[in-house]
Amino acid sequence: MSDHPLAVGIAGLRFKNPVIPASGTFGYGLEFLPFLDLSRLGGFCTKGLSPQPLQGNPPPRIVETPAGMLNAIGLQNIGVRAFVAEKLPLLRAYDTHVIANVFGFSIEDFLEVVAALNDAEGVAAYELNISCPNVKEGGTQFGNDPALAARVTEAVKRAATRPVIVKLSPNAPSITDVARAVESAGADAVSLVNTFVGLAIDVYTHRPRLAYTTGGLSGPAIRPLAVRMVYEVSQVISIPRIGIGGITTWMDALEFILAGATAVQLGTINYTDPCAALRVIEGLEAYCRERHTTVAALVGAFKPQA
Amino acid sequence: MQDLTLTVTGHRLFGNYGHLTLMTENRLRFAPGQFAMLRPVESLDPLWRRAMAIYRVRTTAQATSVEFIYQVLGRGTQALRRLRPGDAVQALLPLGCGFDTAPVAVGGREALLVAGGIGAAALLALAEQLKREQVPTRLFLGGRSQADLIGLNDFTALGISVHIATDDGSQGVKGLVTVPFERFLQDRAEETRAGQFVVYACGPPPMLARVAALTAQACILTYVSVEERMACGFGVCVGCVVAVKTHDGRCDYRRSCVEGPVFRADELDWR
Ligand SMILES: Cc1cc2nc3c(=O)[nH]c(=O)nc-3n(C[C@H](O)[C@H](O)[C@H](O)COP(=O)(O)OP(=O)(O)OC[C@H]3O[C@@H](n4cnc5c(N)ncnc54)[C@H](O)[C@@H]3O)c2cc1C
Ligand SMILES: Cc1cc2nc3c(=O)[nH]c(=O)nc-3n(C[C@H](O)[C@H](O)[C@H](O)COP(=O)(O)O)c2cc1C
Ligand code: FES
Repeated sequence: MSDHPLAVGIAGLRFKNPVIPASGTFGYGLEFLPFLDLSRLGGFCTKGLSPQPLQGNPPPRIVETPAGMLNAIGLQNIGVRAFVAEKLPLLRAYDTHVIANVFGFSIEDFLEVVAALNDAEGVAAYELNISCPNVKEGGTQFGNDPALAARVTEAVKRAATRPVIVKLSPNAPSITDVARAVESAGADAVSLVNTFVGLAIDVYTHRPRLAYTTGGLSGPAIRPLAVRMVYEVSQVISIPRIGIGGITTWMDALEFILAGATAVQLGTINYTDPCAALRVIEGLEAYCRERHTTVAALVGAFKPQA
Repeated sequence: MQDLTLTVTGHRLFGNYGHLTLMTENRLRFAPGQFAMLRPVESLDPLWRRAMAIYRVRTTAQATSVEFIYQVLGRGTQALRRLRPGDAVQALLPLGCGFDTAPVAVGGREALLVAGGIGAAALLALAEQLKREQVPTRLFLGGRSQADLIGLNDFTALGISVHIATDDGSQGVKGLVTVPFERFLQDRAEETRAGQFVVYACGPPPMLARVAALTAQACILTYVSVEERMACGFGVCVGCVVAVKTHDGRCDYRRSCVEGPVFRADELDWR
């Protein structure tokens, strides 16, 4: 699959490059048309889709923190049916992999979303969000427990007509245990990490700075933690890893690739720089050109010892 | 909406504020009340851009200049303060839905602008447009002290009447800006009842809530510009929502960067 220096393969899909904007930071893709040609991207992940539209949490939902942010959006989304009817037809014009991020409060919810997507043309893969820290049920309760994570994965795998990527939570007691469990349950790939649960307190009011109290930490602040987790998970599973966490430049992306990720996702940086994915792609191209190498050859090339 | 690299051509610091002028060769069309997301070029510290109301735009055949006034509070505005002429600023603009002047431009109505503190920065462009549309306009301008009366000279230069309030009484009425505003509505009770006024307000949340309460009581059509925390400014993070009342009496959330920042006061859920 290394016909082009940046091309990589994941679960039988060819990605023209390993750069994929992350769920919840790229809307439904169309919002970024003023900034970039979606066809330049390896793929992108939609906002988490649930069976019914979700209203989300009360504001304030976001707060900036050192080199990052906390969010407790609560998965406000238009629902899977509106996505299929209103967004997907417009996305078919672009040559990129649309990865539908799937969310549910129960296994039945996950299956309902997948059923609604199975018949829709233009979706390349499913990414199961079993790691959202900002909803009271569902979310992390699946992602923190290897047995539950395996049950969702198995059920979805049985129903899905497309590759299934399971998005792992960094808040699990052992992310490697969850990674092993979902691999055994048939996952085609994993993506990691989702946000870390955090808390910010207003010292004047003694109240939390988010209405939901806690929120998920993302941005450059989490990058070394995420790189370490990708490295550890890469040691224990053989299905592909997609690295996520605080990437802002091509060098950051390459750290994840060297640690064992076949592709990367860009999250929070899309808010600050909507063209960030293009800069990362161009940077990786230049690096591969200068060093006469390919991204595929760099996956896991990290040398822990001299 | 464009993401442009603009050049700093002017930067005046006064007290705890900065008046920043940026230049571009691109032509810009914008509506009063729209805003921009700014960051010094190449800077990711702090991580988010900062939302700033477009204070004024001037266009010549060759270039467009865009002005902003900001109050230095935290890390984002401290970074803006360090900008020098010639520096580059990354600006996403114009963003959001601005003020609707159509309702006030009919039937000899009068526009009442209410500004608290740095909120005045969102209202100068509106005052300019109302002048072009020949709508009688009056401004209620409040600040902590004389030095915090943002844009006073520019508003006065437009020839509109200005009612001033300062917390310390150093200029105008002593107290909050809603004090002279409320008194005005009482003095003009008849015109108020006749639907003569449309109100446009921007300022701290308690001020907006007070204005909304006063005008709801008097049945005056009122627009408020809200300032929520924003990570993106173009609708994708869904972080900047405000609660609105739905017709079935429940509440729903709207993104203030796209559906706002200007909302009709009677649409918002003020609880
Ligand atoms: C649509 C819109 C238009 C805006 N227009 C303008 C404008 O024209 N001019 C302008 O100056 N600002 C404007 N703002 C606010 C601006 O975007 C920033 O939120 C503000 O400048 C604070 O950023 P900072 O980097 O200084 O502080 P931050 O680093 O974000 O915060 C630092 C500290 O200051 C505190 N703080 C933040 N804001 C306030 C506040 N208002 N009062 C007291 N403490 C505060 C925080 O709680 C924090 O502890 C606008 C916001 C929006 C959403
Ligand atoms: C505001 C916000 C909303 C998010 N929504 C989702 C979501 O709906 N589904 C999901 O799987 N991840 C969601 N995420 C997590 C991101 O996809 C990503 O895993 C995380 O932000 C870490 O990457 P980053 O540091 O590059 O942002 C969200 C993140 C943010 C900041
Ligand atoms: S600031 Fe991101 S949606 Fe409004």
